[in-house]
Amino acid sequence: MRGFHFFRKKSDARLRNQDYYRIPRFAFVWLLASVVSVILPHVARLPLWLTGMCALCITGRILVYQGRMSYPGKQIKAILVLTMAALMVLQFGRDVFSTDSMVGVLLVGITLKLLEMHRKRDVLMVLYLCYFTIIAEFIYSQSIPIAIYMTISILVISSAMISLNQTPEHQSVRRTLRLAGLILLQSAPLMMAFFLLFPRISPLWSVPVQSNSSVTGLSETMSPGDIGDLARSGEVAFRVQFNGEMPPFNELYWRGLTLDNFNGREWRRGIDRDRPQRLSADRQEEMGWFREIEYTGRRYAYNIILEPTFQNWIFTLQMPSILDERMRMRRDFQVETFRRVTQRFSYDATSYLEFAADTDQRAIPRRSFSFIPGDSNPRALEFAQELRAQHDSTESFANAVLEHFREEEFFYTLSPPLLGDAPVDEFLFETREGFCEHFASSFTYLMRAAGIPSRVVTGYQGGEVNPYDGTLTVRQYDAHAWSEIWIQDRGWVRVDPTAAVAPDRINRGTDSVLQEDNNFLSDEVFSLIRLRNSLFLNDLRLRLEMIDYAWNRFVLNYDQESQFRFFSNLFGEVTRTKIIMVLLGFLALVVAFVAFTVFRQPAYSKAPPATRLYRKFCAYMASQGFPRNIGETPMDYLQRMSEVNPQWTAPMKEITQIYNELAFVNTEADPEQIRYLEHKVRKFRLLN
Amino acid sequence: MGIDAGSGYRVWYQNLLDAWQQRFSGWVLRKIPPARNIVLGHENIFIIPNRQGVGFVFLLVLMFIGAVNYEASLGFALVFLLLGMFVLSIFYTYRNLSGLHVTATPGSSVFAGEKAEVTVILNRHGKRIYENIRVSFPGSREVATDLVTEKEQRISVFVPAKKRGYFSPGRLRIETTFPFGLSQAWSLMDLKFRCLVYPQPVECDLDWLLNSHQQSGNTNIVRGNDDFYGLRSYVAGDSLKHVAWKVLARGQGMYTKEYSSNRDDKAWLRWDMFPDLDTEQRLSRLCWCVLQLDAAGIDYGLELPGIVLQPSRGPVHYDKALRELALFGLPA
Amino acid sequence: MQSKVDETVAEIGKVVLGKDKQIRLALCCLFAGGHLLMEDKPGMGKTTLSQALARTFGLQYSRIQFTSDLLPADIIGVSIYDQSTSSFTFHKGPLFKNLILADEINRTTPKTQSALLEAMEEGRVSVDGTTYALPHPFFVIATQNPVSFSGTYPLPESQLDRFLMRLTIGYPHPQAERELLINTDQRANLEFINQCLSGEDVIEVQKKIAKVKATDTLLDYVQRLVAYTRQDDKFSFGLSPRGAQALMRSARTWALMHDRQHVLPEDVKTVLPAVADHRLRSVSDTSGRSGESWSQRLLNEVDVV
Repeated sequence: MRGFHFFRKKSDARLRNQDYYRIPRFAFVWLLASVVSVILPHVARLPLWLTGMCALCITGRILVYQGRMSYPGKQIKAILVLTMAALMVLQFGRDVFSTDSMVGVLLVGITLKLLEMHRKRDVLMVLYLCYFTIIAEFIYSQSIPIAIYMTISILVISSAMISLNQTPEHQSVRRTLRLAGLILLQSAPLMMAFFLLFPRISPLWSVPVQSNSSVTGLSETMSPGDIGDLARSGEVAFRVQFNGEMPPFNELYWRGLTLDNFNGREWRRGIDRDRPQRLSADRQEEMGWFREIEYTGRRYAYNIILEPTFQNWIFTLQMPSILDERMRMRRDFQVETFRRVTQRFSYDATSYLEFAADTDQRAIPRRSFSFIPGDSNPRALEFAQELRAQHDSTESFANAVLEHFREEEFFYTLSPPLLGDAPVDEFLFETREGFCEHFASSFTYLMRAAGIPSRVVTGYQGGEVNPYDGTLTVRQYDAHAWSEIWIQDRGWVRVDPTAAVAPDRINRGTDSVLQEDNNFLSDEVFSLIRLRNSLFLNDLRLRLEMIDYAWNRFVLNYDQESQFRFFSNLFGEVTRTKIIMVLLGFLALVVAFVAFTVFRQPAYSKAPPATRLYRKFCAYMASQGFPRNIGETPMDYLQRMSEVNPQWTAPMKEITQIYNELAFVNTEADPEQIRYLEHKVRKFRLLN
Repeated sequence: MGIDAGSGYRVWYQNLLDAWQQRFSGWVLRKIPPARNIVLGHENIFIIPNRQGVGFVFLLVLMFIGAVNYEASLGFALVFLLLGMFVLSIFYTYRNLSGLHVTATPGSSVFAGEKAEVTVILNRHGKRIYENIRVSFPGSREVATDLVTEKEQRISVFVPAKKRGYFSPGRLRIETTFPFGLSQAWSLMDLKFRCLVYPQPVECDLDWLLNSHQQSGNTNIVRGNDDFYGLRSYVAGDSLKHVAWKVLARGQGMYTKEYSSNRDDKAWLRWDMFPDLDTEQRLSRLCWCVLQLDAAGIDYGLELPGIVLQPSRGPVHYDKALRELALFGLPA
Repeated sequence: MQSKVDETVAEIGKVVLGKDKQIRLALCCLFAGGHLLMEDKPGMGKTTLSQALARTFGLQYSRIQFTSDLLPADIIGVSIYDQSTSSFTFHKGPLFKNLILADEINRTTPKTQSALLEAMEEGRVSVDGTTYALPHPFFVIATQNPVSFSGTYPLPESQLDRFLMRLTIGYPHPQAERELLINTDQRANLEFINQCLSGEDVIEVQKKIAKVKATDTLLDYVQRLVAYTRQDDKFSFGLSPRGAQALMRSARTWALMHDRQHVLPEDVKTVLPAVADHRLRSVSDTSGRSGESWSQRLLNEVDVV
């Protein structure tokens, strides 16, 4: 028994832990709820066997709890772990270190740990892992619904933590939940301050990103049918907010990939011939080719929030003049980021729609831009050369081709017939049904066949304007392909053959043209976007999208730069010490507030007003040298005083009687009488 | 050589630990002076994040790295929310002790080797509720309690009482990790609790002792109640158990059976009845004798060096005798 | 009410001289429906007072002198075998009266004591498995010698709690003492005491007690008093909730006896020593008995308002 037990003695600890820890019933239910709540959002992404494994472990744990099964022995646990590992390798193969598989390991780890809870510490471990799993979910989605769901999840896990620390006798779900909610609510200001002000660090190392197979979007190459597939999807590609005026709708060509290499069927990117140009506002050096671009006309500034594409090209209006330092423009005017876009990516850009680029003949290698594999589409080649002979200028030849598309029976459709080995020939002379890529591809082929330098550009065209916040939402079905041809003295000029066939596509957007097409939006069975025909629901959808945009822009894309801006708006020049001071100051403020509410001792009930008045009176008497003794009743006091100081008897008697009446006779205090007493006390103090 | 060095280190470490504990206990003594009742507040509550709390901070660091690497804005939000929760939990843990009134009431006296019962009384005022407060004394089991609906909670803690005399169970440790178990608030207090511990009774041959040391020479008086002595006529109020039913059935009238419990006999318990034993052993045996004689309802006197109790019986005498035995030879 | 009380006090005052306050407290105790314990040294007039009380109430009373050989059956009654009917018949003991004067209660064995106290607590007795109800009202006025006197079996705390009040009579005032010395046989006057109250009066009063008001300020005071006994270092035993209830009940009765419908702190202060002294136990006093009035200290250390 030496010393005080400041440190818990080992023997005591053993005394408590000698039995298997039996988790209290309430805490057990909370724990299961936590585990299930963090696994649920992952289920859709997980391989089926993994979900099954989790369910198996959870069921096993429930059976153990009910006493219908004992804890699994070492062998069973080993088998479970080995099976898991084997299945993992089978499932993910070389991607076994990818995010997907890591999340899988985490989830299975949690559920396996459920089967091995011998101590309170193990339970706590599971709950910690649950918190961690929430971060894992945020890798995949940070949408508002997920954020709300996860808030509930955090509440449940925190409740489980509380429940674990409550005695089994006095548990109530409501009280536990309320306490957890209260604490989380009180932590919210701190969270906000840290979120806004805590310095954001760039990633410490590159992390394995999730597989991109599931992501819809433009691909690196273009062959007939590729873009048509995208029209099945209503997923958001990116959102744009213009700083000021928006260009006319039919000018909204969001340029993405430049494809200048044709193999007869498929368009690909060519080889770079010049170094790319950085477009940050404070760029040091400018390439020769870039200096020659002439910007004229109106300047448009806008912000784009790009959904993850897992590619490194991004979309801008032609021709961008300023971008930030994370991006560069290649010689073929394709804009790229240095890292692949695996997260929502927000960037500001400035573009001019009127420009002249590569006007000088020497600037482009004519031959490579007009190369076509000689034997690929002979009929088209012949047709082009014939037509070229009838026109003397490049412009008139191009117009003649467009005229051909317009005049002949060409159809704009999402479900064109499949094309064979000579797709251009088949399209031009047989099927005559196609989507934008068919037209762009054929047009460019015809241009090249006539010796005109030309290339295909893919990207998006148009978008949907949300009337509530003025943002433009560009979806996958807005994907588009068009051509660029090079004309002497004018440089690269955009020509959109689709506009010749289906002018509505360009002027009013995809959905206005393809509304009736069966394949249009066929992937979006349950999506709100299908409800565009109902006025009310469409309105609702637009409002939700507005909120979603704000969420994306101001919460999810709150980065170093926005932080910098926010801070300098509030506190002026940004310095490291200043940030730390502000953070610490805020922390102190919150702590002080909480300390004030928490440290306040429980208040004893305050004395009623009459008693307070009487005490005041007694204090005055004491100051005059006649204190009331402790334990002396008002009447006894009056008695004693009337002997000591007879001239006070009358007023004091009055006060004492009123007080006695108020304090001991009337159960309900009469405010009139209290005022009267107050008056008497004041008078007494004045007169004596 | 290596072993020597190791044990040398261990001794040095143990000394350091002892010195530090002594220092700490002295400090605690000064900080929380002994009192019969203590209101827990900032001057007597210690609070630190415990091992789970450190683990939690480690978790937050991991989560922060995750959020940084995946550039997940909501990940940052989550980390900061949990950080706030952690900071708040320290206050909440403190709050779960502060304002609590602690007192202990003396339990009844026990015999050495038994466990003394200490009733710790926790009182709360106002609306604040207290949950999962663990109370223990050195060497006792922890007892957990709540003050949720009740204003007052009485907890019995059993502390082994090893030696006779006045027993003090040491400092009461009152501890809580509520709500999250991430930090631990505790207080150590001496509630000036004292109870009397009688010597541990050790059986001995009482009949033989009394026979060989009794001046009166009466034998067999201890088991007096068992032996039939004679009949006397029934008096109203006599136990019906002792009515001589057989006699009654024969129609010879109502009689009460009398047993040879001789009420006038006196037994003297003397210090020198056990010449070969040391002080504690003697006291233990005397204690056992007192218990036996009291149960038998026989007057007994007690004679210790410097102390003489005249033969008597009844609870007051019994208390007095055991008290003398418990405190014999101990400083007041 | 007050006039009736005054009359009664005057009547008892004929035999117990100069002890008005004690007489009033004793009356208060009986009106409140509680049992009374009188504790003083032999010859202080305990028995006289209790007999006088019994007479003024006009209740059926029996006096039991407790001795060390008194057995439970002696007070409760016994089942006696009746040979003519060949069965046991229960002969009621002296306990079956409205008022019991239990003289020198601590002279008898704990067994007999607890038989009496059980009857006090429950208002009925069980003999051989049959329960017999005691008459209503049922009062016990017990007297006992201070514990320090030898040959006594002190009542344990738990049983002391069953007495609403404990009174000590104290030495008489010199003037009263002189009168005692002049009159040769004060006790003979007992014969001339008139009945002033009836059993119905008592039941009437008991009904009214609940209606006496106690304001929050007063209850605060009482709670402060009670809390003080529980928290202060000087007491190893605080007032139990039952003790606190007894205090309020006595104070209400005291107020009623003075024709008031509300309780004043004076009422509480007056009855407190009688109600609380035998329920408190100080730290320094391990035997549980002390000459000093702890409650007086209590009154001087807890403020009224």
